[in-house]
Amino acid sequence: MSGDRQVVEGAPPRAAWVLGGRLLLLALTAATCLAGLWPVSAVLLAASSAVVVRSAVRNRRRGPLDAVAVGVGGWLVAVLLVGLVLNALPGGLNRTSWALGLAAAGTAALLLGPRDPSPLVTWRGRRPRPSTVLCSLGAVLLAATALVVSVVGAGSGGASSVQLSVADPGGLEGDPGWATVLVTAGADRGPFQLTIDRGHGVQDQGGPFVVPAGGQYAAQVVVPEGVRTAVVLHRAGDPSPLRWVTLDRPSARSGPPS
Amino acid sequence: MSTPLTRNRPVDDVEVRVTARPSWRPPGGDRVRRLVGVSASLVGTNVVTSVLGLGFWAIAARTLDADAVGVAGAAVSMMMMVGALGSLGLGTLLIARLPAEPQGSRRRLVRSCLLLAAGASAVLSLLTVWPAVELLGMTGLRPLVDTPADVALLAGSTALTAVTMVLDQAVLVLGVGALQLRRNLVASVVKIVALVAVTGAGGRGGLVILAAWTAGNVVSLPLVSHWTRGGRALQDRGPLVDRRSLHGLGRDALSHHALNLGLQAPVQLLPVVVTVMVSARDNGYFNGALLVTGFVFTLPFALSVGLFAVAEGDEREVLGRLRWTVPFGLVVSLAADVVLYPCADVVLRVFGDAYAHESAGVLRVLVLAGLAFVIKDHFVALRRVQNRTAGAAVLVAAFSAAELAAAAAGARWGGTLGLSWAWVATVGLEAGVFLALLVRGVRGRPAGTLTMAPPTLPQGIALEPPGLPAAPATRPSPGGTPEPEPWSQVVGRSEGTGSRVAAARHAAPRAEPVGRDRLAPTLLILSAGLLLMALAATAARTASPRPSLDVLYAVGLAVVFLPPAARIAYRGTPRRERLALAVALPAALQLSRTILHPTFFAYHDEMIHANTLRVIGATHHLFTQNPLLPVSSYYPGLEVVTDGVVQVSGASPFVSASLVLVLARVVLATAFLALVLSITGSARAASVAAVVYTCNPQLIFFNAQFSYQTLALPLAVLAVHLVRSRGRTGPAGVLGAAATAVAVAFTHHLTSMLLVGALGAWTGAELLLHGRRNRGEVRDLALVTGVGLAAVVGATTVPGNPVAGYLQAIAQTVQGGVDGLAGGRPAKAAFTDPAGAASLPWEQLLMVFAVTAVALALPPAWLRARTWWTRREPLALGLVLLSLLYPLIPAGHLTRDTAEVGDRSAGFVFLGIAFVVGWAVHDRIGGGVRAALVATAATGVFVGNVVLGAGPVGSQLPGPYQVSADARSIDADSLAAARWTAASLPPESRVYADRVSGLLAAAIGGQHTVRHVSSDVDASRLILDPRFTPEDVAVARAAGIRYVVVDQRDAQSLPHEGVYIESGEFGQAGRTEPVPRAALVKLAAVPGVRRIYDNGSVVVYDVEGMLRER
Repeated sequence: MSGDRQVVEGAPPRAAWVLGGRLLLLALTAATCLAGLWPVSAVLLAASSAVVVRSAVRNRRRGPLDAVAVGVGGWLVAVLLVGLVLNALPGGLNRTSWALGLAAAGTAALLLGPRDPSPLVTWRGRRPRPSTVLCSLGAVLLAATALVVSVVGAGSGGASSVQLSVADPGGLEGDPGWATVLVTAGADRGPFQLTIDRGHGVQDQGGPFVVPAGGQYAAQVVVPEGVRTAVVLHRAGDPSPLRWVTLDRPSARSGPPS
Repeated sequence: MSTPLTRNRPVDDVEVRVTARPSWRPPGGDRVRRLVGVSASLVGTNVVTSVLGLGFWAIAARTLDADAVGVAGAAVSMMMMVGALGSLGLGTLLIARLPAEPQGSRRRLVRSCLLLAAGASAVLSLLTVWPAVELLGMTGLRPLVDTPADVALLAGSTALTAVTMVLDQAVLVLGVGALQLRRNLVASVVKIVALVAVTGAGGRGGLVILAAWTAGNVVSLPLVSHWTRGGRALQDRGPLVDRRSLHGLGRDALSHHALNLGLQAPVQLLPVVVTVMVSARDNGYFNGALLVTGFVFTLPFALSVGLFAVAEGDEREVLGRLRWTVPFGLVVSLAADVVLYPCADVVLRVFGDAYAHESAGVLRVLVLAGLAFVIKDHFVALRRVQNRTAGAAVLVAAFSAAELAAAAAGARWGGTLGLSWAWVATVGLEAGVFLALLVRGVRGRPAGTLTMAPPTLPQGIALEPPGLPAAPATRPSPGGTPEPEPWSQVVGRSEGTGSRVAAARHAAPRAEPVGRDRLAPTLLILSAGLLLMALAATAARTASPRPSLDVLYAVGLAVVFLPPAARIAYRGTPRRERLALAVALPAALQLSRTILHPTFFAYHDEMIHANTLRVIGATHHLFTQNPLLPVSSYYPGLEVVTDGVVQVSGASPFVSASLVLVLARVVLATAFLALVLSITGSARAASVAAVVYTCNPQLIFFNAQFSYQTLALPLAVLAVHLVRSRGRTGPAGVLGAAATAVAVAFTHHLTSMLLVGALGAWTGAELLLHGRRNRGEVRDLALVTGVGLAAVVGATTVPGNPVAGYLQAIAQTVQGGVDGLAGGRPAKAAFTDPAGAASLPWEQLLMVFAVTAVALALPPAWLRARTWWTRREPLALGLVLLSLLYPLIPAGHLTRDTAEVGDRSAGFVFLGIAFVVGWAVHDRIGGGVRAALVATAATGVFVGNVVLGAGPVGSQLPGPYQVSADARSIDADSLAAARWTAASLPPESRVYADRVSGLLAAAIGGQHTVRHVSSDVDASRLILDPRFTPEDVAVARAAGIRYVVVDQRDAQSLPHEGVYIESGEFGQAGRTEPVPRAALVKLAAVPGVRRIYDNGSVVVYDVEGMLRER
């Protein structure tokens, strides 16, 4: 070895209360999951996973590299196999079955694991220098900054264009003659103007309007039976169509607006 | 020479004291008094030049608009930085050389240096500014290069700046130190006068300010010649300049020069960052605040310089004085903070009310950095005394890069105020590191005395009182000064002799030399690389064209890869650091996937598996139907684990998937390392192998995506490791390996089959090589193989699993490609995608380099791998055999049909290549230079393979919409359409759409996307055939299609992925033109078809009426 000592931690805790504490942690994790306490359950999941994995790899004594590989890999394998088992249950994979299944697997690992666990072999050279700690923190900070920059950049990457849609595409046929069209604004909020084209002239549908930020503008449109109705969105004052949708009743037969 | 950045101004003076060994002492010789005197002198000089500089900028701010001041501020900052770079350390060189130079040739030497500095700086200015504007898109600097006259002005000004920098140091050595102050005084006054004159004459714009600034230098330089005219009488006859006089003198100077540059760079470049990232106008305000901070930053700097100057190389002296200079500097800086907090706007009002309003907050933040500079400057002073400038320069350079990266990120996030906070926070972090090092130095204070490098100057040259005559030109006595402490002794423990053992000692770790642990700094640089990648990706979202961003991203990749690779290759790197970096590097590269697309599944395969994950969440059961790729839902291991995390943690599917992928990558890295370590017994071989594996073309593309192979491969490697590292024989010993093999069997079909095949081959090889001697080994292997085989069969026979047909179709496709190539069908066009988009020349070069380098490295590595045959090591032999498949990877790219198979095999084949190459080179890389060269070459291979596997960088980065280009086809419009389908259409409606819209409709929209592979109906004519025919109705009816999603932008170009929808689609054969627009709008005219959604790009049609009416 090359100067990095592999030292042995002190005697492993053997007391029953330690085992009890770990089981309690598992139970708490399952409980918070079942209760839907999400941020807490995520933290507890990480903590209980670490506890179970640490306990499970304790006896391998092949160094930290092996411990990480087997610990993390074993966790993935265990979750996967638990999932396969849960799939065979009538309820399948849901929050309850996952919480209970993983808790049961963790409990089994703790109870059936090494009864006389060896001291954990860890890497521990000399105490890290403050500069090392700070550089490490800096590295974490930079990586986190990279992620934040990326997420923020993705979030501000561009709003969608203005959208025109039929509010209830599946339910239109049963309506007595009314349909709702929705204008959803992106970066451009208007003012817009809706017009109706039923093949015999274009008429305005209300006046110019501005779509509220983050909201939608809804318009009720009459859809006569047997007449194809095109709803066209313009920019106010500009006759060229921006978006358009068509509405018709089952027997309607007509072409799109020219 | 005055400068707005007074903190940087005395840096040149530091060099004076660094290299010189002062012998002149004031009467009384009291070092404290000298320290105070030198510091006061430096502060005084800075105050004079800064006050006049402040006046200059105040006049500029009041007479010209903020844009002009911003441009000029950036120009001056860039000029100072480039001038400092272009001075090439010649000022320091003159300080060292002049006293030893015969009087007759001194002026010639000075002229030679001035000419060299001027030329270098002028060239550098052109090489810096023009590419910055034209290639990197820093349009804020465009006014500097608008016309040839502007370019000439900038180059000339920069050259003069470098000349004054060098000359200011030279005149100090000549023993008339007051010349520096006088020249700067004259230059500053002339600048102001020139500025008033030109603005009074109606001059406007940033370059007017720059011209006035330069006028000061132009006028002051002849005066220096006049003031030193007495020396002309001593001058020899000969040429005015002589380049031979410069030979062999630069090394020492460059060491200090590098440190100085590292110190100057961030503050000098901050205005440039503001100009580029925010605006020239904001930089005008920012520059005002930065000018004021110069006063605050001067004091700690002067203190540290004075401390160093009076120490005369005595480390103890410095360490002893630190105890009061540091607190004193901190108290004074804190006092400045306290005063400036309420008075910031008052102080800034000297520039104008707008500055007071806009910059006060920035000033209050910036000034906090003074506290950190107290620590940083003292650290630098200590390192100079210790003659450890090289190490300090590396550290300072790394932190400078971090400062700029943080500043850029802060600017993007929060403008100038964000930049200020980010920069100050980073400087504060640095101060923590430097403080720790200082504390360590004080606690471990040496008992001895001198550790400084032997001064090479004669006595009495540096701290001469102004006005004293030049020292006699005598050379120093070699024996009169202590020898420098060798670098290896200074850093301690780092330089070992290195192992040259030809073969590994099986299972016996070889003693490797131990050096200093640089894990944390290396990780810091690696993270900075990630930040560069993030900045490139973020900027690329809106930029077009953007070759500079491609370069920035590639540089980020290189910054992530190179430092760990170099440290791993380096002989003196500690084992723990090496192994940790071998894990950190691939883990960081996994993060690159998240950095590119941090909020959603973006790739084809990802969305297929995201759809499986969605369906599991909706149905609560596995092995359901995924129409996008039916076979994928029968291997749901990755989705099962992700669903577990989603359900228990409450995190979103994407976040949970990202977490699982990182864990999978950690497993891959650690299991592979542990495996190679157990085979070779060498952590170095294992780590080098891990770096080589990182060069796998698919590591940051296919093998980083949310796709089943991404989990299966790590688990397969883990299974092999578990078999090899089992503690005991028998079923209990292989329980973990068997469970892992089962997990692999339900994660990915091909990986599980290959795993079982490998385990079977391993069993056979054990029998063959060791016979019955190793019966337990064979039995255990057979047991794991049997369990794995049973699991593979079990997964294959799940009702409905179409894996057999799926693999058969792939085999047929590959066979068709090979047959076509053999039959004379032309190979796939090199370096272009199906839409005709070509890789950039540097990308092509790197790809060729990568393939060539690996091909050249393998044969000698195979020769060296013969040792594993001698040792009868079946697992090693298996890896060697695997490496023989390397030609499949580049050869696969010859045809489109085989490209994907070649790519996907890379993840497996590179396991063998990594082992073979890692083993072959691990003990031959040696020391620093060779390690750096090898790491640099490996970086080229890495980036080249990234392009080979993932395509041109431009296509990897997010950006404006492209047709059928997977991630590049997902934009706000396509996402909006997918979300509308989720909100408005009944779940699991049968939808037909193009490649990406179909993926989004399923994965995000929750719809059942019809595909040929799952429905046996090719409905592509619905979108791609410009004519509406009864066949359209027939295929829609056969496939049960209710909605058709059409992205009208498909008509813009040929599809980048080769198909608009799926392989075998309508019109694919021989397609040379984009799909006609008529095909994309034809449904609008069809009776019974309702157009129910339109966002300008994507349109959704309801075709139920059409089916009912016909």
